Amino acid sequence: MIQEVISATKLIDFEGVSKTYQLGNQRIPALKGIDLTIESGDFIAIAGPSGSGKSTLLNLLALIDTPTSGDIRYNNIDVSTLSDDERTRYRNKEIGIVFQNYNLIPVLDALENVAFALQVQGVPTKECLKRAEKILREVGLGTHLHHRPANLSGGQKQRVAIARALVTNPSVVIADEPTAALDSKTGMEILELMKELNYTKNTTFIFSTHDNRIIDSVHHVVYIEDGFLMNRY
Amino acid sequence: MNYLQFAYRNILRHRRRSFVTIMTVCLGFVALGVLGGFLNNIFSRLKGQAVVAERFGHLTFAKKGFYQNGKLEPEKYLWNAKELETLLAVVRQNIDVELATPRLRMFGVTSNGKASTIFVTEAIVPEDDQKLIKTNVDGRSGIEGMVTFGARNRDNSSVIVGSELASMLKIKKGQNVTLLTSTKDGVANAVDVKISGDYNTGNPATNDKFILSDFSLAQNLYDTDGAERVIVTLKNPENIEIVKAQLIEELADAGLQVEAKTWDELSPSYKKVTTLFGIIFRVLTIIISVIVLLTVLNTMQMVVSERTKEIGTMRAIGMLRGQVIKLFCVEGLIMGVLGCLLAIPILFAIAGLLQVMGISFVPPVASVAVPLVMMFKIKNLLLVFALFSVVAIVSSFLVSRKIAAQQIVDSLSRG
Ligand SMILES: Nc1ncnc2c1ncn2[C@@H]1O[C@H](COP(=O)(O)OP(=O)(O)OP(=O)(O)O)[C@@H](O)[C@H]1O
Ligand SMILES: [Mg+2]
Repeated sequence: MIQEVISATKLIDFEGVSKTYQLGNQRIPALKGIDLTIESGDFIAIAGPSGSGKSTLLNLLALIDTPTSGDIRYNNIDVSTLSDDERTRYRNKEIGIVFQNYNLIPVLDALENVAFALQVQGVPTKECLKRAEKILREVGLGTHLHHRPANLSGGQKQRVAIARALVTNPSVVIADEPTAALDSKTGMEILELMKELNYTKNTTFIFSTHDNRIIDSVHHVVYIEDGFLMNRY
Repeated sequence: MNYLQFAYRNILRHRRRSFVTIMTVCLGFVALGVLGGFLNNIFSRLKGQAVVAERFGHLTFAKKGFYQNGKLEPEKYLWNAKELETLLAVVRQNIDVELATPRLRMFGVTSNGKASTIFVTEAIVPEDDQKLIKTNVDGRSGIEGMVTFGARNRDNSSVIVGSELASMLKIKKGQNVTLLTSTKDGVANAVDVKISGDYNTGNPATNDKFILSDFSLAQNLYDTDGAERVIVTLKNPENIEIVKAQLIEELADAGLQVEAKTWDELSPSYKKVTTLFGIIFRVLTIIISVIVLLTVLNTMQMVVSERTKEIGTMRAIGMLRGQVIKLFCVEGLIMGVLGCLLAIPILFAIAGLLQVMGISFVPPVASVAVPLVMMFKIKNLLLVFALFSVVAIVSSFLVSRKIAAQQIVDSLSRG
């Protein structure tokens, strides 16, 4: 593992993190003693063969799953000490999540989907909508504010999802194969958008991918194989 | 976008399922509303029979111990003239009192010359009784076919008999019967009286022996210048318990130890019918509530399992467990409330239809037919409304609590 630029601050710290799934009486080790440090402002691709543990790692990073053993620290907070509500609030404020299949709420239009992430915080509706609209314009969907997910293309849906992840101004966006459901051209556009947002907002991005073109165009790639962190460059 | 809007859109999402749920709540409400409406009407009619036809008024005041030992030692439990005067004066002073009138009750055998049968006579003051039969019962003043003595040119030896008694003895208006009874001291006494009318008391237990007689005639027959009881009607019968307590105290201050009974305590048939129907109604309420509970539970179970991934997403984005539960409870509540709201026009339509059709029937433990109409009480409808709302919330809560507690990754990996 190589040392990062000195100026960056430590955002996430994994220490000996393991995750073992229990399937009936079968134990499936998905992650094995991961040590990982992620710095604020990073743009990191996680690569590895299918079943290597990428999604498992990202779920732990996104605080939507808990490790079997090991420590996860966010901004030096041991997240295992947080209650479910505290963890949820932390996730809402600090972590944006983008899913492979967009996971937009079908009964809400683009604007409402984005505003939702603020509304659960109790931000007044007017302000939620204002901020949601601003971010949707930034991701290039200013003309589709009132389209419901069913009336948006895959690329547009993923833009809405990215806007939803960013509207709370999180420190990090975590995306599990955000381009996998898109054609390669649209996938590259989404990648460019993420790069741009990383650059302009200094938001940390961590995402997994199978796409070699994407891996080649990203500076930091973390390889994972069979639950082990192989190397990082 | 608030919870209500969000929940409402979600309900529209599963249109048919939501519709079935709403209709189940609606039909449950209509069923309870119709039954409740009938019962209110029956109870109210029976109340009219007790208060007016059986002449119980609202409150009855007797000497303390009268209901225990009055039959054995009638003399001891009679108010003498002076006591009666005080009693009436005190009671009539109370602003809630509409009417106070003395009564005597005697038992005996009546004969048409060929056959005889037992009778009970309630001795009434004609002028007072004319007011009493107009007592307002749940908005209706007066009962159809009710008769009393005319005010003028009245002969105090005329009587009005129960319709069943009249038909048993085959006696008609204008004919004479003999009343064999005894004085307060147990000395036999008899008088010939003229039938001036008959009416149905509404209660089969009394309709075959009831005779209304003149208070002054009864005083003579009983050999007293006092009375046994004083019957009181109130301007506002809602206050009956308060006024009762007040009057007992005021009478005690005036030196009279009284025992007071409300009309429903004195009418055992009213108690029986209301108790029986009350139980039936309660059981039905429970059954229907359980049906509503199971329906909403089932609907919510389907909704939640279809939307598990969405719930996982909302939780991942930052929705708290409590907020997820709240969302589903609001969805359940909206369906419950819509069902109840939809039921109200249906109920009134049924009520209107029955009014127009004009069906009537004889309730059990009654001898007079009552119209089959519905009488709604806003308070009862609101109670059912509240009950169903709570049931809808509880079933939504039970279902959503489980899903909200699930690991987010597990919810997300579904569907
Ligand atoms: N819920 C689960 N229960 C049991 N085993 C699981 C579960 N989720 C993942 N696994 C197992 O854990 C290992 C790692 O899975 P993971 O999904 O993290 O891999 P991945 O790198 O994301 O693969 P892919 O590229 O196919 O998405 C695999 O062997 C997988 O079968
Ligand atoms: Mg995966």
